[in-house]
Amino acid sequence: MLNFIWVVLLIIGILVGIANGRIEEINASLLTSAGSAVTFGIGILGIICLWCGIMNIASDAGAVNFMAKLLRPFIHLLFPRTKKNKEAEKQVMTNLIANFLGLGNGATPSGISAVRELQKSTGGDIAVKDVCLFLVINSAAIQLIPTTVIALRAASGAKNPADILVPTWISSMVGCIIAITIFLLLSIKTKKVKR
Amino acid sequence: MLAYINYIIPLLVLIILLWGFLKNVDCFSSFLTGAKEGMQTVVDILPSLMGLMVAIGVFRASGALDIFVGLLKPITDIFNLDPQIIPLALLRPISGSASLAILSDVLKTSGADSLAGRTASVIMGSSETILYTMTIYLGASGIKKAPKVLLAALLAHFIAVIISNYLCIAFFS
Repeated sequence: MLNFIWVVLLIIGILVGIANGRIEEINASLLTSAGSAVTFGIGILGIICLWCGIMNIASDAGAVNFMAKLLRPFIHLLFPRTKKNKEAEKQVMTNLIANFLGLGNGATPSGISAVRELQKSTGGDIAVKDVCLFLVINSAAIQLIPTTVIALRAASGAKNPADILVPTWISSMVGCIIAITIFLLLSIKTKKVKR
Repeated sequence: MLAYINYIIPLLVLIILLWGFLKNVDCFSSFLTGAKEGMQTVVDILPSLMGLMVAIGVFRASGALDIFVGLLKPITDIFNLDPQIIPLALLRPISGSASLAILSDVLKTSGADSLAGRTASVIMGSSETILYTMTIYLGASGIKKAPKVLLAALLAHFIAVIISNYLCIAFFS
């Protein structure tokens, strides 16, 4: 998919540029974008390192276990299979909390294990309702501090790079609720999704 | 109204440090471990980010992006959206580095403190690369179909884009 997008952007870009008589701009862009990408990478590096470091302290202080306690009732409500399967419960919570705190490296392995555990003992290759709901919730990024965005805004000269925090929280939470609602409405209608 | 925002990050750092200190965590070495991971993440995404920033740079310099955005204007006008953010809304579910490259392009051309720049930031921060996540999670678990998930996630994503825009209008103008 990314292969397709990348190639199409470049080919259309160069062709349209030739047709528009903008070959000089294309040439300049090809040669400067690569360099500015590296400058940009260095620009965001500081804030990302800082925040990953701070969040690692939170993680070492037991933030995941602490939040897991608060989250457990909701997890049991949303994913009935986690009531019997303790490993599924643990992996689902680890994934959601790692995403929330921005512990990027912890989220993917626990996400994969969570899906495996939730699907376990059904034997089919069609996702059960708990797995579907887990993916739907994962599609909305509920994140305490969207570090990359803030770093990018700081590198682009925003006066207050973090001023988008509150609208971002509202938007991701509303987005998550909408996603869950749409999914539940769709699955009630067809009744095809196995419990 | 914006003053309270300045408290969020310093207070969070304060709470985390106090908590770590009281729990006898070696805060500084823990900080360094995390910071190294963060640095590794940036280094890992840099090549794909560079490639995509070049592609988007060329696409914009040729005038193709303006043509594309112009075509979308009648649709985006209905929802009061700035058409500049549509490429981001479309690419966000597909690729993290492509949407990062687009976001940096919007921030550069429209300004980080413009409505389009802020809306783009909110969209980037509040959504996920759902297609990528789904592919990885399902692929690794041997599941072939997840009914209704993609439809629900994408519908919710585009509704959230429209909501983000109105939130930014309400918060910043």
